[in-house]
Amino acid sequence: MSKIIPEFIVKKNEDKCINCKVCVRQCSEEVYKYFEDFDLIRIYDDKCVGCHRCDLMCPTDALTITKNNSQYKENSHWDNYTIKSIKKQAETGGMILTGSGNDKPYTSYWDRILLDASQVTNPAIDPIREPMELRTYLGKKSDKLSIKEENGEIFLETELSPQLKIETPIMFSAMSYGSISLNTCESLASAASKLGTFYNTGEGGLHKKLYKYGKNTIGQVASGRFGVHTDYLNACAAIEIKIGQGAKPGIGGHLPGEKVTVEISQTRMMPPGTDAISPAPHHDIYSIEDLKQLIALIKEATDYEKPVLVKIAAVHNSAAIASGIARAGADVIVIDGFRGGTGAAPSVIRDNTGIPIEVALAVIDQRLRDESIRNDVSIVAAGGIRSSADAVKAIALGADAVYIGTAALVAMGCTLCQKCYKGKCNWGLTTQDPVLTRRLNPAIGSQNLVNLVNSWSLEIKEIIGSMGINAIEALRGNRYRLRGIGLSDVESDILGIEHAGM
Amino acid sequence: MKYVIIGNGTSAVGAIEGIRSMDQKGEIILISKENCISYSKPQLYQMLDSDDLDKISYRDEEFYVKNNVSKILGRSLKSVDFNKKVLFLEKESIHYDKLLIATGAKANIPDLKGFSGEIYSFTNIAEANNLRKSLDNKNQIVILGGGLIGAKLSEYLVKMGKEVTLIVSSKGVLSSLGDEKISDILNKEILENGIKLLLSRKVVSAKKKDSKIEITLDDEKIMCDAIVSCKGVKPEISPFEKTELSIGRGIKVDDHMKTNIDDVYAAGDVAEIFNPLENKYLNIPILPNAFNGGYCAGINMSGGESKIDTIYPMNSLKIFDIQMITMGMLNPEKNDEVLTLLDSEKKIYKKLVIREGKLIGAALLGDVDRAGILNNIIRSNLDVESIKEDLLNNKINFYVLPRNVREDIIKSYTGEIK
Amino acid sequence: MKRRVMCNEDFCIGCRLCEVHCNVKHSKSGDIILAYKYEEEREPSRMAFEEKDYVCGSIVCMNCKDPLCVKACSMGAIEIKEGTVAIDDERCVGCWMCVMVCPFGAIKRGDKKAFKCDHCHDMETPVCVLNCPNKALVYEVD
Ligand SMILES: Cc1cc2nc3c(=O)[nH]c(=O)nc-3n(C[C@H](O)[C@H](O)[C@H](O)COP(=O)(O)OP(=O)(O)OC[C@H]3O[C@@H](n4cnc5c(N)ncnc54)[C@H](O)[C@@H]3O)c2cc1C
Ligand code: SF4
Ligand code: SF4
Repeated sequence: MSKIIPEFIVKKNEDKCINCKVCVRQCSEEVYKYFEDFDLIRIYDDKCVGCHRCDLMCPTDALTITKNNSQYKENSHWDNYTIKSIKKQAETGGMILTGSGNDKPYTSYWDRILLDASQVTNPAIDPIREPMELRTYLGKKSDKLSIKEENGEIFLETELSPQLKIETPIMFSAMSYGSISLNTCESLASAASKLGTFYNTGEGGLHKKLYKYGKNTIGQVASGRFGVHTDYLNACAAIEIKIGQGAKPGIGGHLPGEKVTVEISQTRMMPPGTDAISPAPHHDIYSIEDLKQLIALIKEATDYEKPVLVKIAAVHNSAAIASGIARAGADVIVIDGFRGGTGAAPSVIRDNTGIPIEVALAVIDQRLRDESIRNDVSIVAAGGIRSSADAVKAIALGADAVYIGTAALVAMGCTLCQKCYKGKCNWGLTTQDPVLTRRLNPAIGSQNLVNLVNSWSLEIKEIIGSMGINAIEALRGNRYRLRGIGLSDVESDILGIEHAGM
Repeated sequence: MKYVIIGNGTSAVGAIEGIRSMDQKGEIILISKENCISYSKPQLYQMLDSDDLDKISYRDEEFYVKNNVSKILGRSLKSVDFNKKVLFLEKESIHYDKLLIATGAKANIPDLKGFSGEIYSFTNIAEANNLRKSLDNKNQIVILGGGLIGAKLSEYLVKMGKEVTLIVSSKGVLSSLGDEKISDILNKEILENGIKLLLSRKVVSAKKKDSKIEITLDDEKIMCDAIVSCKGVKPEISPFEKTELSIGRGIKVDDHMKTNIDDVYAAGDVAEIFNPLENKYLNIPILPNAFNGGYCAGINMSGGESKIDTIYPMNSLKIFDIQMITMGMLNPEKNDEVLTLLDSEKKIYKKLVIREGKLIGAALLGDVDRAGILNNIIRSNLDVESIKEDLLNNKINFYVLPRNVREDIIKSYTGEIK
Repeated sequence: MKRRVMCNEDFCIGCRLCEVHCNVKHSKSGDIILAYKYEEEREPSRMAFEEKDYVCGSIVCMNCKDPLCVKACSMGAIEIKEGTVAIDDERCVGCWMCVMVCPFGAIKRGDKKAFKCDHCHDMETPVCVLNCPNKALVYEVD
């Protein structure tokens, strides 16, 4: 018996349905089919992935997508997900794939951390009335500055490392052209340029249409080295070496041939229609020394003008690795937590590998401080940042800035159905199907992103103002302004924060 | 500036609009021998029901007031002195600075050997009224000519309960379109609706017999109460016959609607326009040509610059249940490509004639929706090689055209695209 | 004056909601459910969604600068009113001369009368544009 109990029930209220067939035309999963001879819209619940495109588009709200209550008998050990997985695997013999971030009910430390506020002794600041600084510079900071005076004019003698200037400590994380559509890339790129921040090409290279956003682009160099060439390196404002990704640490990438369209093949510099495979490791980086060489190579190729970022997944010994990365000459370390999103990953990896970003961030920041090399690098936290509060907590835990990926996708329409790997994204985000990619109008996508980041920025100002702080910089690593709630001693200790009440 | 327009038909109205789009002040004088409002000739059939001219009015009184036009109605132009720029009516004479001749066309009435009685025709309000008034005591009607007017009039008369015989000298109605299939379909439709259709017949003579008329054809004799001639129209050139105006079938004009005489223009059914592609003058007496010609002339008369598009025949008509739109050349030459589609059940027929990759003619029967898209393809001389199958087999739709072509069309009709 | 509903086909998602809202707007009740489920007669939408292969988009009367329909109308029933090409219902006799010449195929044949987009003249922005979920339809007025 190959049938699996459907996850969703699709209900159409016949009193409201006007037979306009929007649902038929919009659902890329083909849940709806219209039979002209019978003038009937037939519904196939089993195909529904719960993305809600149909009910959101339905002009009379005639559709409801509900969880199917008829499920396998409840069992807290053998839950429905497990039973269904086994059945699917028994049927196919393959890995179970998924998209988006880890959705398992692991502890979210963000939700166990509370922020401080000023009362009486140090006054809160009203962000509407007083200037607030969110501008952040990412890159190696000099220990001391020497200044020279000549003919009454003052010169800086120290040579500064290249910096990335961001107007708000929020950037868009790596999502490659290939995993997302060009319209999605363009939305991110144009939003980044309007916001004065950065988006990241991911490992998909830079489409020629997007070169104009180069000033706000971080170009990634990943193990597949797709689309990496001199023009690419020079077009981007910074280069990120991707070692790992929070959603699938230790796993490479695989973009199936069907998705490698002509445009993508040109951008990635590979034959169209062939699978784009990124190896699990960089085969020229087996040690920190190797990494150091690649960093040097990139710096050399870009005239030492561009900061180099190194991105790793948050894993058990992240702290030691981060220390190595700092010493290898990177300007920025990016840590991607286990809630980070992905276009496609085996569920078993996504759901069981890596560690929470909160924990990794705290220990890395601590380690670098302990080794007195914290100022040699900036830290960017990524993976599951959901709100301005998460961002503020991340900064207080030690980050200079955060990357958002999933939140950005949600702003552009994503409803977290987690079926990105199927390439049929109903919102036109993680697909290359020309019928679907049209669904994201970059003018709208980019405006939504700008709105999102602007509102988070306002909130951040409000939060730090309430703490009596007027520059985000002053909060970085200031764990004293955080308190834990419901944390064990070990957890408090690792996070480096005291429990509420202390 | 004094503009004078002879005629009050479609092309006169077009000219008024053309002139006023350039010159709001100049004096416009309109002279027409018909003492009535401007009316729609394609709707003339409605006058068979009643004498209510308003229901086929083409432009109402307000139009002339708004455009400040002085009308001299019920007066005929008799002759012209082009040197002195003077027009002679029955009694008075009128000076003009710029003249538009828009006298239209009149019925072709055949000479029926031995027949002295009245042969009716149907090309203007007077003729229509006359026919309506005479119909009361006449039951058997013979219509000569299977062109558009003949076919349509037969339909109206049969619907009024008359016994109608339609005599056509060619093999079918609307044979001038040059498509046998269309003629076949229409022949059938006409027969099915109770009209006696005599094809490939010639009228030899006719004579009065008691209160009836006896018509002798090449192979039989038929009796009737009235004869209506629908054997086409010819340009109304009588006031100009003895002048230096260059006249062929109609008054010859260039692509600016100008005649061989300075300051004299002609438009509509009376004019024949030089077609540089075919290197000959064409007289195509249809309403859109009349309006466009008049409009173009109006602009040129008032100091503007306007060139008439290449003209070709086009029409939209319905004969009983068959709705059709035809345009351009349907009679292919040797190297032309012809695509046809026939769905007898749904009464749909489609035909495209393609010459050197360009659409030059199209006929749509049954489903005529979006015919204008084809018309624009013909008018703009667009390449159809890559889309011809779509045009034939699918619903005609704007998105069948390649994107750049679509954008060009939008630009040319409505302005730049941002 | 230019009034034009443009469809940016790069972002037309083929939902056909423009047609639905056009229908509702021109219905008796103006209510979507009443219009579709309870009103007896509903004229076809003035907005025409069309598609070919991967290309789709909507097209309505573009309010040509020099409209061919106005010139071809056998009844003089089409006029330009405040920048909008308008068909006078009273005078139209359904001869379809306008259908024959409209380069966009934007004039529809009703039961006996021609009809087309009226740019929702009682509104600032036509309903199709207001309700286009992807802003593929843009209303240009100048
Ligand atoms: C019955 C019928 C059906 C038709 N159906 C169609 C159709 O379906 N589709 C189509 O496209 N076309 C059709 N036509 C043709 C169309 O009506 C003409 O092409 C169009 O009306 C020509 O316009 P015009 O201005 O050139 O001439 P007209 O409209 O004929 O106007 C001529 C004017 O000149 C005036 N006039 C003439 N001589 C003199 C003079 N000596 N002095 C003063 N005034 C004068 C007349 O009074 C009249 O006002 C039809 C015509 C007829 C008769
Ligand atoms: S997959 Fe999405 S669009 Fe399709 S039925 Fe389910 S919720 Fe609706
Ligand atoms: S169908 Fe109506 S609007 Fe169109 S040309 Fe005929 S009369 Fe005019």
